Amino acid sequence: MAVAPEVAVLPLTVLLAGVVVSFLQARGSRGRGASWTGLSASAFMFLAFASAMGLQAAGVSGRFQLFGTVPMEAGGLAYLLALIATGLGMAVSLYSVTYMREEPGLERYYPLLLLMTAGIVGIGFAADLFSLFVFFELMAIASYGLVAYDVREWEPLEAGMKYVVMSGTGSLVALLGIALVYFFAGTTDLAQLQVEAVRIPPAASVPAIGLLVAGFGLKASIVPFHTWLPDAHSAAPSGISAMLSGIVIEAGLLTLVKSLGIFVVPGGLPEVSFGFLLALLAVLTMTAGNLLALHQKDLKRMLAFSSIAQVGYILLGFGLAFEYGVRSGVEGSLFHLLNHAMMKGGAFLAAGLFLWYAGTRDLDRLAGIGRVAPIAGASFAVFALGLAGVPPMSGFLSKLLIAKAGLDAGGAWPLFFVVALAANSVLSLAYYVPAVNRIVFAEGRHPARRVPWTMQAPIAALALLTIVFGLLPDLPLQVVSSAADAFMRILGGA
Amino acid sequence: MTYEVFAVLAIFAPLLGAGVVPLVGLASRRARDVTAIAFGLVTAVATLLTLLAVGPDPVRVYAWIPILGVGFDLRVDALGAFIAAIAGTIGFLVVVYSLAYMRHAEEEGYSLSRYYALVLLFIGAMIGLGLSDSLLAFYIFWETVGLCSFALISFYHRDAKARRAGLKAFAVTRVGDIGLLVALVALWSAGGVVTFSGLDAAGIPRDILGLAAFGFLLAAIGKSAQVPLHVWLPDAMEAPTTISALIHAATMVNAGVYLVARTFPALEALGWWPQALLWIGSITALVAALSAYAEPDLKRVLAYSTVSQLGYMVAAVGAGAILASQFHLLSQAIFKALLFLAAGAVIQAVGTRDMYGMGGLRTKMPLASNAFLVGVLAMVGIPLFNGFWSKELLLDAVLEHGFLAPFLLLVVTTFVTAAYSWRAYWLVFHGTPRFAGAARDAPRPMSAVLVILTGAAATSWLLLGPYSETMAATMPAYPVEPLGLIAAGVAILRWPSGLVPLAVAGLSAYFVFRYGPRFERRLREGSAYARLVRSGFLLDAMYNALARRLADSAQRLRSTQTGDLNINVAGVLGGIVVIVVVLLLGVV
Repeated sequence: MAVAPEVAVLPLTVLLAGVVVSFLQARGSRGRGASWTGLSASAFMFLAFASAMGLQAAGVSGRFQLFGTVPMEAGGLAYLLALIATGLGMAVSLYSVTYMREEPGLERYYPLLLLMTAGIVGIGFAADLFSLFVFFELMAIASYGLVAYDVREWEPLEAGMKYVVMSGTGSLVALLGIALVYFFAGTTDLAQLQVEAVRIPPAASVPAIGLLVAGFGLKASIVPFHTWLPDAHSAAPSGISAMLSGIVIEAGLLTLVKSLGIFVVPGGLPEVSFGFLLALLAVLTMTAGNLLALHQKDLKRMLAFSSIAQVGYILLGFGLAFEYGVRSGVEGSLFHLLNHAMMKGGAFLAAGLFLWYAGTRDLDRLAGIGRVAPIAGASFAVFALGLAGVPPMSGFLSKLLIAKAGLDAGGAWPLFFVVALAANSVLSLAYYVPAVNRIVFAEGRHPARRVPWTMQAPIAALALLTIVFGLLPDLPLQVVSSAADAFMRILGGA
Repeated sequence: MTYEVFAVLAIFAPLLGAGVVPLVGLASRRARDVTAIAFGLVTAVATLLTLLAVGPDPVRVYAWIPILGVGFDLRVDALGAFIAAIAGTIGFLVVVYSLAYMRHAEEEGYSLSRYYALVLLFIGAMIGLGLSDSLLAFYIFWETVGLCSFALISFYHRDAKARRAGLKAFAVTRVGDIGLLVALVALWSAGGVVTFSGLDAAGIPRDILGLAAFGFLLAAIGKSAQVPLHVWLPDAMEAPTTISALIHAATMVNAGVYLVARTFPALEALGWWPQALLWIGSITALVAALSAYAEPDLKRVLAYSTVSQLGYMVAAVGAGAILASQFHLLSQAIFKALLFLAAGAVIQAVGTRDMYGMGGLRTKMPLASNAFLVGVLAMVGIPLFNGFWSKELLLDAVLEHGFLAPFLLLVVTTFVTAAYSWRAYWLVFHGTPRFAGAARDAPRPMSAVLVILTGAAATSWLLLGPYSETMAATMPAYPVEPLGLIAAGVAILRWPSGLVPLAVAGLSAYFVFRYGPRFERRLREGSAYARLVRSGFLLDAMYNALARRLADSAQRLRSTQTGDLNINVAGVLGGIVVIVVVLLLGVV
């Protein structure tokens, strides 16, 4: 069945329509009306998810122009990102129905959430360095509003302020890199740049790569550009924390990876060996993230630091792929991106439920909360152990594939990277398991309270999916594999 | 072959049970207990029927992950089927024993639904581990076993010590699991090897094979609690005694010995690998036995004794004596389950694990006393009990292959084993009672299990003939000869390998009864020996220092998280400069 690639604009259109509808719906409505806004936002997320699923299954691919001018490309990578973003978005907006019901200003919340998701979906489809940047900024600007959502409190405001300044610096730096590329190559089209890229002399491509890595890497919270993340991710409303940690920073990472693709000469490996640099940064990122998470007493802050570590794992796979051309690295990283979205998204939602229940993020005061909220407690255990890479939760197989990439590459350095990955997995147990111990097993006194299904259902669904994908990984791996195909075409490999 | 259905049933019946039991538990406690027993029984029967299905070839049960070329393959040969049968039957006995033993826990507010679900999951994962040919499935089962042990060791979660012990067990064994992960990935990457049966030394580059061998070794050391990663097992005694029995006899520590036995034919070619097994095994055996002698805690004595017995088995695999190692594994599983469950009855009756708070129980608890005595006789290796046959067979094989030094270490261990076993028996059951209140023998289900295990400890050696024949028939790649009882008897009684250990064990009994009391006083006062043992032969102290060092560096790293925007933005710019410099270094 040959379908024009133009239909691939559907998920993006649905999300943008959702922005308008939810804005109109939410204006002035509180209580019951607010619940309906949340449900309709979930419905739009679901429609976008379903359309992306349909397009993926039908194998719609190819280039097309959005609004007649913006070059886009439909393909496996775009669909994977769209499915993750809208899938998690669906869980988050459903969760927010009760969680956010009493908050003022919902006409900002749901439209910004949908807009941020649209930006992420756009990143997947963008086929041009500049439109890539525009979608990236769309995502970023929407997220500023969401982090500083609760303007009555000092903490979100301060965190939002830091986030804007840091992220703005990053965007500026990345834009400078893009300008440098455009200056030398005369085009911003990703496919053409691969051909033209040979014309960029190393003297120019080295600073350009440096600027792109720092600029987009800041958004992806690669160490040493990570300092804004713990504040922003822990101060935001929990649903937003789930989105930020689950998919936004990963979208930043994919933006980086897509933009770095232009420096790869088709059929060969990059002239400037930035893959090795990425792998080194990856080891630094995972180690620092895990060490910083060790002493956290604030549950959401701990999860935020662990996101930094997880970005390190994902970055390692891509780094190995850029440096050694190993396909398993791409597959592992993309699969881990999916798994991390489920696990960390779910973990933040569970943490939000605990916060809603007990009014605190302090791990000591949350002791035993998993017994009064058993579904969230058990799910949290699944997420935490999955994040540590314990089977049968799905995180282990993706980590294993990344490790396999190191051995596929062969040699002493890749082996070092694999050992660093494995050692970090053990290190991360030192905070995940005590957190599980504290929340699920320890004694604590919490009043009985009814937990609404709109909050429990998304958490339970993500936990279930984490186990199912761990035991039966063939289906998600097929989607991942077709996305890896697109990436390997950039590398010019098979 | 249609018998494979038993193997599949053996794996998935307990896993299903783990899901069903808590659901039934919502309705009724009694129905839940019956359901747990029923699933345990089905599992035990299925594992025994699986013994009929043994064959040399792997079977693909399910395509599983075609995109990675990984299937769910089972390999039901004697090695795996016996591990599964041990897990299934002893697991079932433990579930029955738990009916009476764990009742008090429910009254104290611990959820028995969780308990039974985890126990069944534990058993199912161990059976799956034994029967999997697919390395990925093996890895999943392996880690699930670790996860269950963590959750069950910290079952009494209100006790901070139990929670800490669970964490320690999980973390230490995970260090070993890195090895398994690296081995698995290395084999997959280098030769496309994704099954045990596909593991063939010929097709794999030597350095990759070495890496994999090291990984498997590390994994086995962690899981089977060998030196230097044995420190988690004694602490794991915070678990309910039933769980200790399960871990020591059926579901956890056997996995490491199984793994090295399973991979032996492919890795034997690496000269250092069998040597490493021999030395690690025999040193572990001795160190753990010495530790056991200084323990005042009954359960910790038994824990160290398991570590020591596992050392024997690992050394035997190193000597290429697969049959002896696995046969000893069977003996150990039976007599250790017996010892733990007898100890459980005693501990419940007396209310302490401290042997200095027991004494004189021989007349008050005759059943437990006799059961424990049979366990001791089997562990020490007194003729006609199962431990005698398997241990002598094992020692004989080590000497026959010309490994004199490890053999001598193991003979010395036999002396110490006899010493700590007699000491424990004497402290618990003889002398004057050192506790208040009355003690009686355990209620019926517990006693029934003790009787069954006592019988098994006295007779399981009769299985040697069929055991060795099935092994020889279904494991062509392994150095196993069929061995009749008479031939085994002749081999065992040959000078010096057979009679020396026996004489040593007898000598040891004399020394314990003659000089034991005086030595005991010194131990209680805290002699240098006792202090050395309590620091885990300095290893525990070392690991703690390492963990502290790590925690400190994490603490110091936090100071970089200043929250000052100016510094952070400056950091970004500095980062760019560093990146560009690194890239330029790469170009030039």
